[in-house]
Amino acid sequence: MIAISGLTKRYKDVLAVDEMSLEIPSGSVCGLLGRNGAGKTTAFKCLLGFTRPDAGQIRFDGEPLTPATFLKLGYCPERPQLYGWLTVAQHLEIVRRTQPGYDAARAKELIGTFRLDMRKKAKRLSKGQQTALSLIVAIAHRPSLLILDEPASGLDPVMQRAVLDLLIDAATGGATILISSHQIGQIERAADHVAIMRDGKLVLAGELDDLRAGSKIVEATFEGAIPALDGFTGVSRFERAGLTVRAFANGETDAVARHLGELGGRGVRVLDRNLEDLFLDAVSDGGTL
Amino acid sequence: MHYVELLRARRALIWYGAILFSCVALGLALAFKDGPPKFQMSHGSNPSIPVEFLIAGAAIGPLILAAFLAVGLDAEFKTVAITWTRPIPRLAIALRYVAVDGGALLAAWVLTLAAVFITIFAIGIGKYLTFGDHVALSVLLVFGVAVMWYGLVVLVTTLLPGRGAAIAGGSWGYALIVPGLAHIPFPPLLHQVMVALNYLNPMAYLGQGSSARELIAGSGEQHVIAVWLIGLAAVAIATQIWTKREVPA
Repeated sequence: MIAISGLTKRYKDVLAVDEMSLEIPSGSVCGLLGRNGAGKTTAFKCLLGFTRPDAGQIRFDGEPLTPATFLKLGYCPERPQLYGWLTVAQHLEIVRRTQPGYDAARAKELIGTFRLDMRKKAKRLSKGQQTALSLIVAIAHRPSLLILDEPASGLDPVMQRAVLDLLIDAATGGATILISSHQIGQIERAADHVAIMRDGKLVLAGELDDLRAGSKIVEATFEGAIPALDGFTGVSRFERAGLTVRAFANGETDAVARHLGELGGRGVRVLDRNLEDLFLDAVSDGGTL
Repeated sequence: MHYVELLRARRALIWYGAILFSCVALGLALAFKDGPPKFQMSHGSNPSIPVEFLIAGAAIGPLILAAFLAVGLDAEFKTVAITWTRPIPRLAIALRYVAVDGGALLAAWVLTLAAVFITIFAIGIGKYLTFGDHVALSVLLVFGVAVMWYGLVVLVTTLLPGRGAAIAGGSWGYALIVPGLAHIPFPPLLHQVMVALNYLNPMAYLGQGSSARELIAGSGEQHVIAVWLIGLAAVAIATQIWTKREVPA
């Protein structure tokens, strides 16, 4: 389990992370979403001890971060941090020498999956291959806790799928994963929990199914013109497309549907929201929890 | 993580050794071009080559490598995703780096000394070598100078992260220019500043001739203690700072 409580980090005038609290249960995959500059990477830096938080606590399986935590923790950064002058094989040797849990067979399998040449220097690899090597370095010791900062960036769709499968495999094996990505579709496929940050604050967090169930889209089509959409409660925002209105309702779905019908809406129906809807809702100016 | 530094040191030693022995081979080839060379030693009836002199001269090896290797710890800061995610305390990582670098400096000095002795015996002047009373002191001084240089470069690169190459190169400029500045007739206060700057210049301690005596007060033994103390203190401070560094926003 990864438990974050009241995490706050300020850089001079900028409050990069503002009292973030989040619990990621053991064996679950939590997608951390947010626009650029929302505070995701700063939160990761605090988690990993790369920077000291101004306030808050971080626990990994109930323990604070110590060097021993890295026996079971793997981290893949947003931009690959590799030794350009070392080969792929030498990078794996670093992991072998420093991680007692290093799994040579698994590392070899991953090298094959991502088609990396063991003799090639890191600086000669493509951006996607560097990302893949960075990921392999993070997971070659089969960590039970994984922190991944946009691990699929720069990869082609086939490799992105391979990364996704890898994460699902790790999660199936009981690993706890915290992953940030701008590819919401990937998060939706792999994650069972989601946390959304906006301006350093966590504005939405929970189990994905619960979040989906807790808010729906009520859609209705009007004839002639769309009337004034007044008197709604529990609606975070409206979307208009031609004569069709989509109301993003947080609970009270029946009341919203009834009100749209009273306003003359036809073909009123309630739709499930996908993660992208939840995300856009949470990061839009009107979106709050 | 010292594996990375081992590779870095090995690479540096291979390059240094290759250049050094290529120079020796070239020099000997030229010397033997017209048959065995003949040397006239012009020191009266008892010509001699003091070993202390060779030991000090061989310091050029570790001094060259000191500046090169000292930037390794700073370079690690670009790969904290690997370096700082090992189940090893950061201080232990830093100290292992320093230990590897210390070994590499010693190896560079041995390589250089070997090259010097090979040259001397090849051209037939080995018989003039003399061992004075200060061989041990010379060894300690020479290696202390390398440690001091290494320590100061590590410290400055830790204080000014991301500028390792410039600092390493600048250290040579400092070492070569500052002694000269101390001999320029500046106003008394400025002259004292220039002299004082030499106390942080490893090269100023190295020469056992008159210039070193002028710039750095104290005996040979005191110079040895000074260079080791400055070097080790700089390393100790630098490693502490390195372990507490933060990745910027």
